[in-house]
Amino acid sequence: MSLKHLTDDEIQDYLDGNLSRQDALLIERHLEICPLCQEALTQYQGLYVGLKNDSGFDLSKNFAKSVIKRLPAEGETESHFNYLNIFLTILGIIVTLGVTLSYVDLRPLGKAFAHVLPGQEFGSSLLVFAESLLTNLNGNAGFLIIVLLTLLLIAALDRFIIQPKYRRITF
Amino acid sequence: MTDDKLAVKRTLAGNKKAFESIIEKHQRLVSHIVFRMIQNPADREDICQDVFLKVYENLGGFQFESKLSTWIAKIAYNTCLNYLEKKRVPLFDDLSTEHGTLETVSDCSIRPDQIVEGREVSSLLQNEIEKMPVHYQTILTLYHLEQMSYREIEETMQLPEGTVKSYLFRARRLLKNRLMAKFKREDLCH
Repeated sequence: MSLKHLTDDEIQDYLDGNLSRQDALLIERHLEICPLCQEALTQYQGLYVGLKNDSGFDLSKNFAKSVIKRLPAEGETESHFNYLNIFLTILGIIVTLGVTLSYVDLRPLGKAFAHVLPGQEFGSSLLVFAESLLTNLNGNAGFLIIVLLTLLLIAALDRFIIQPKYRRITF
Repeated sequence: MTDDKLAVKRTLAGNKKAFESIIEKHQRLVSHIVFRMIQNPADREDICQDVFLKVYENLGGFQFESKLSTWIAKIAYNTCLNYLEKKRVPLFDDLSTEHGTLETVSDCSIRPDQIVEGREVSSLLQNEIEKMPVHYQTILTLYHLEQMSYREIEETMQLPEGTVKSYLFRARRLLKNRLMAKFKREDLCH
């Protein structure tokens, strides 16, 4: 290190305190005998001083109070979000229940649950229910797709319109 | 419990005075980041306000995994990035590769440590900083003005630590060379 001139990176590492004590000593020894590198070190030292003197800009005197004035009132944001969320949840449940009750025969499911209590074969009853469900759905697949799309639409409204509007979390 | 933890706890309990103290403590940090990243002076104070509104809205999710100041700096940085993206300001302009050697500046009679004391040179330094890409300016500000570590800058800007260090070193080398070149030219004119 003592023969070659210091690189810009070595000087910056030295000034930043990134070097081990041993490496820093090598740099210091070189600086003692090399006016060229001393000059470069001084230039960087001057730059560091200048960078610390960055003035920036002054915020208004009442900056903090101005922010406080803009804060939402207690629970304001939450309440808007909750009402809409509850409305969409209820709408989703109604659509799902309506379709289920209208187009699916739930009696096998009832039987399946009834078998649980006396300890009979719950698994086989569920299979019966699944078969029955598939039979009931036969011919109603188109309608179910529309229902599914409706539910997806509700989810998309919630995700892309309502949540961004009432939750300004964008970082 | 530290001051920051206490202030956060009180703010979450609805104490707006506590949040005011958080603002007062960190407004300098936010203003430095915004000043460096946003060129339009008319927008700066509004953006600073938006930063603290976001801090308030998200304070409940802050788990003290980092320093409060680092978390606030990250929000300030991302708020500015969103603004710049909306304005379509290029963020990743590369610096012209000026690999100045020591020899190129060694014979200069004016040194930055002498010249930065003057207002003219200080203003020249600011002009040179403003010409740099936003990321470089921000790293210089966070490191030199806010005394953040590489790790904290990495967390704030979501850049790898190696990239942070590389940008910082390149920016300083370029600034030094530009300043020296500028003053040499002016010497020649007189």
